[in-house]
Amino acid sequence: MAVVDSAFEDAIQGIEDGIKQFEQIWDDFVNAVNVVLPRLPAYLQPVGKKSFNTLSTKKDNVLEKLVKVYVERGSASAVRQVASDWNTEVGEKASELADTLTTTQLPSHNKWEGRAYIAYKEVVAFQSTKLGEVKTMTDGVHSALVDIANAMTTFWTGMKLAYYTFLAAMTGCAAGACTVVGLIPSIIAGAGFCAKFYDDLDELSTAFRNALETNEAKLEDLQTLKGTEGRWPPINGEALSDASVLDEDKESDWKALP
Amino acid sequence: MTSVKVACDRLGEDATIWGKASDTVEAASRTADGLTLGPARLGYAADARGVVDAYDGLRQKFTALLAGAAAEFDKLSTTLRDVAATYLREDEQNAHALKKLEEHL
Repeated sequence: MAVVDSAFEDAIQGIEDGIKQFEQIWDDFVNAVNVVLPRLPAYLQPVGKKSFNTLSTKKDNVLEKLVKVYVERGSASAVRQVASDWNTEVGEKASELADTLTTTQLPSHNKWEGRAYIAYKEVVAFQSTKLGEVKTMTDGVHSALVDIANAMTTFWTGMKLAYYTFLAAMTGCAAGACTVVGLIPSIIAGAGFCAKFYDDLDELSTAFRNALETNEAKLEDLQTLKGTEGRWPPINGEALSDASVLDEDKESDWKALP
Repeated sequence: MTSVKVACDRLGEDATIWGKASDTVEAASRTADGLTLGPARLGYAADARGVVDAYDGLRQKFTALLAGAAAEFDKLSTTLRDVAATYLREDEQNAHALKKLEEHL
């Protein structure tokens, strides 16, 4: 069954809806400024205009930053799906094999003796241990990926909360800008809310970056794959292969039990 | 059925089990190979912090590790099958019994 990170998906949908909502809020704000600014006393009009230009620049900056991270957001659901697949499709399969590939459970148990059979029992024990270690390794991959997905979800749920707080504040400012006495204070407040949202975005981004860096280091550490570096330890087949009494040494390393 | 025949059959069953284990691990290797996570899924912030590269390196090594296990299990399966066949063939020629007899003389 596909893994869905509902909190992440809800946050992303919320941001998408919020971006559309903001267009309307900003249109309202601009309309209010266009209507009310000419009604201000002449000496205040340049102040109002300058303040609105400042607000407009801050708004552009913060939205540009929001849209950039939104477009490049990735998918916590996809990361969780892959984390889950490491666990179920790789780790658990190896673990099941480790549990069944033991000397006493293999059909040859109690049927053989000799040097080669002793070597074979050692091979079985070693391979079973190594397969068990695969599960430990996939647990590590799973844990790092889930941490990354959690960081993505925390970032975007935090972002949604900050963005909707910003939207509510800007809605209030757009409404306040409809009156002569409220226009300039609303523009100044709007610029302040843009700056606040920009700071919130920075704060969330810093926490997100820290989580990503921590997990990047975890993934780097995991790359040693318990010292194997991706090479499965070879089985010494030579120690197991001599079953003949007709070869040069005239000795079989395998002896069937009577 | 002689005890040698039973022992060889059992060793052949071991060989089959290792052969199946090889198939299972080979399938896990192919799965691992397909568990890609590029910037579009991990996000560009993760890509900028090296997460995409670190994960991809790990995935590739893991894939190789499991493919290596599959190859080793397959070799083991073949070795066991050859051992069982050789032992049984020589037993049918009474070679092992003669050897034992030789040891007792």
